[in-house]
Amino acid sequence: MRFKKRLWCAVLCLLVLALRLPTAHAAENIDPLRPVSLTVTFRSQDTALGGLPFDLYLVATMDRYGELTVTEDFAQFNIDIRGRNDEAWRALALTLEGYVAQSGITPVDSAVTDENGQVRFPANVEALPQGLYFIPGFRYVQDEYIYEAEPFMALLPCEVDGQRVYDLAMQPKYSQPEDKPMVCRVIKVWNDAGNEEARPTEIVVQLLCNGEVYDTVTLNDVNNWRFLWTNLSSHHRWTVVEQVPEGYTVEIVREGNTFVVTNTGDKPETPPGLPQTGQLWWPVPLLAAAGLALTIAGLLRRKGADHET
Amino acid sequence: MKRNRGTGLIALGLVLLLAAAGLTGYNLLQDRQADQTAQSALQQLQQTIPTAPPELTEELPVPDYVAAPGKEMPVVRMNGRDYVGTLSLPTLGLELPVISRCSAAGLRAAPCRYTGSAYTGNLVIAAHNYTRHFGRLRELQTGDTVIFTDFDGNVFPYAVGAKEVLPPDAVEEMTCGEWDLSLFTCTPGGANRVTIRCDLAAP
Repeated sequence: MRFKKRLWCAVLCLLVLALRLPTAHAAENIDPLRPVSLTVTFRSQDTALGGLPFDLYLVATMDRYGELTVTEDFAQFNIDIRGRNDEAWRALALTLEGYVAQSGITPVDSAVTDENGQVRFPANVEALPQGLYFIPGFRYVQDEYIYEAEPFMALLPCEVDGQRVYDLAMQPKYSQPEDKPMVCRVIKVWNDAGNEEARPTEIVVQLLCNGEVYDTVTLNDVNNWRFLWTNLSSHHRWTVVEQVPEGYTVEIVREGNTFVVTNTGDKPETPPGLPQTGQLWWPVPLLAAAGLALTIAGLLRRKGADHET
Repeated sequence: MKRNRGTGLIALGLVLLLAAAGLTGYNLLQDRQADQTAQSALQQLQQTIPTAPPELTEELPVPDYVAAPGKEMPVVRMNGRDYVGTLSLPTLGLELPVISRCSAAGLRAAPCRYTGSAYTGNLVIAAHNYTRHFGRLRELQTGDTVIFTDFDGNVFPYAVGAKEVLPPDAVEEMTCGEWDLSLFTCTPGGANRVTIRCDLAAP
């Protein structure tokens, strides 16, 4: 799975609240020998979130032209990694989260945030390959507060304002959910209009609790392709995965407590023609007129015969 | 022998007149049956429609169709047919069920969704020109109200914005997506499609 891709890091970096730019210089091509690094900071105002374990996953490697090649580990997922804007990158991270947790893929590097809430990669490896990385989200309880950070993608190196950045610093978005039982809603979307007949009649969705399967449900016409889980603990990270039907790709987006699972499949090039929506009225006047004319002609002919006799 | 002259013509003429009368009777019967089928389905379906959409909560502050506009509209299966909602045309005094997908058999029973969704603002509904289906569609005027209600109880009020006559192969024009709701049926001769275009109105 190879494809051309420009470095869209500007949009990727919209995910961060702060970005510490290195002394970078404009470059047409990527220097494949130059080391890359990623520094992530988790701070809540004055509170640093220390001791948080972090894993870094390599989704795709990058060549000197910015072309990405999906790694073997990630090629197993029916996921389109061609993020073209910040929303797509966010959707990609949210989609990958559950699958990565479930699949047991080995991270390329792991580290723990220090007392300043900071973690720097490479940590336990000598160097990181250039490429597209995935960092899972988490829910973390500290001093009776719950902190939740979304997963995100990082492109190393990336380009910001025309400058190549090899040492990227990010501070991911996080929220502080209330400490009370919560709900999760999953809604299924089919992006295959006009090809509904080819759709599976049902799909299986799993709710993961900190990466472990918590519940499995089937979505179909009967439940209108949706399900609501209630009374879930707010101390855990909840994600959703789907058994992706053949011929479809999957994207999972989360807004608040709602997961939207979208399967994209083939669409017919042209929709079916407009249906016939008229009754067969047009022959009625023709039949009536012809019948009347023939009857009158017959009567006239008979009248003429009567006169002859 | 001469008296038999013209008998053949008269007989043929009467056959044609009978055929015209028969076809008229068949069409009127079909018209009546279509009305009865649609109204029977409507009565049963109205018992399943919630009087109000699901209550919004702090945790789920928006309806399903806002959280996921691409989701399928809820379907209710009845007598082997899948319905997606009801359509109200107050100006014509019509209330009709809407079948989820278009088919020749479905169109004989009720209006059918041709393409799109009320959630994505590109719903297209087709129906036969039976008197009590879309036969009087052309009587609608700009500004008239059209209401679609889904089986979650979400109400989508529309205002008629335009009236068009499209050729039968105008698939792209019909599904252009520029209108929130389009209703169409055949012109009396069946050659073209009378199309009513609607915009979503403020609830």
